[in-house]
Amino acid sequence: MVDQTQWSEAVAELLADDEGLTLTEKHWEIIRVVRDFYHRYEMAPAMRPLVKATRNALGDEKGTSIYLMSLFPGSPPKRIARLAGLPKPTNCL
Amino acid sequence: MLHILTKAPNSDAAQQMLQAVGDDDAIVLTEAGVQAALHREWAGFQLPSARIYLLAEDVTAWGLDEIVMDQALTIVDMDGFVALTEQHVQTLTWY
Amino acid sequence: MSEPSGLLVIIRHAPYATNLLREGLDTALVAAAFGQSVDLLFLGQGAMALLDEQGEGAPGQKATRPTLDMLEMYDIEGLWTSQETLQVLGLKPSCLMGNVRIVDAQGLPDFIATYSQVLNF
Repeated sequence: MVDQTQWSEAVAELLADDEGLTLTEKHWEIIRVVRDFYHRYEMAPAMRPLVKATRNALGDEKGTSIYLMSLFPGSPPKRIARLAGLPKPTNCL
Repeated sequence: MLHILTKAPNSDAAQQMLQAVGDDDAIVLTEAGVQAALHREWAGFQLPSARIYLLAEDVTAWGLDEIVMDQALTIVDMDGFVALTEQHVQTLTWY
Repeated sequence: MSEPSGLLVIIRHAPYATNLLREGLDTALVAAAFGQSVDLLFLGQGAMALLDEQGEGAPGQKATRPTLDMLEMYDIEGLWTSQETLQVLGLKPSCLMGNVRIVDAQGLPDFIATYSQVLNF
């Protein structure tokens, strides 16, 4: 996304739709974790810090890579950053 | 550890390297680092057990061949330099 | 003494002067993202990145502080500087961020030797 201020939940829905993903509340709470992370640290998280941030915010059960992979198959950090309207994580190869 | 210094002996890089040099370490002076030949009082030469080498190619490039000879400093050519990097588990360049 | 292990990234260049500080931090983050154990050592001008009261970056430049705060999320918890560095810069430990630890004078060679890999930035 070129201009982050243009992001809205409706935009995220459209992007998700495009990827064949239907966003549920379970997805949204993770997207909010990533947006909070970016707001605080000015970078989107790679997998390891994403797991840690999710664990801190939503508890041990959700703070695992398996859970994140089940919601955002493939590369969760990249997919969530895209949906959240953030630059893709630089340290995420 | 093999330390490679590419900056002059009065540089920040040189000072920081001297803090980090341990007893079993060796130092190769390259690029501007060969200027240390002009400063025999440089703290690096006072280290008790440090082995210090100057890279021959750079000594010549900087016009310091005679001084290095007069001071009886140890020079190493490119092959010797490569051999030194192989002898040490780790190499750290100070630039 | 235990076997050397982990990666030590040494950062010796000031914020804003060059890109080296950022490159060093990025390297640390990538290594940590791959599960390596990473510590950071700030020497000389690099330690200027550790001042507690640093402001935002100049226009168009990313500030360093948010990235330093983020390190903990990558499980990078060892932030170090040296006694000699503080002396040269005229800094008191109380000027530094709270989680910075200080290597004693003359302690650096032993400290560095505890790591199996060291990178200099």
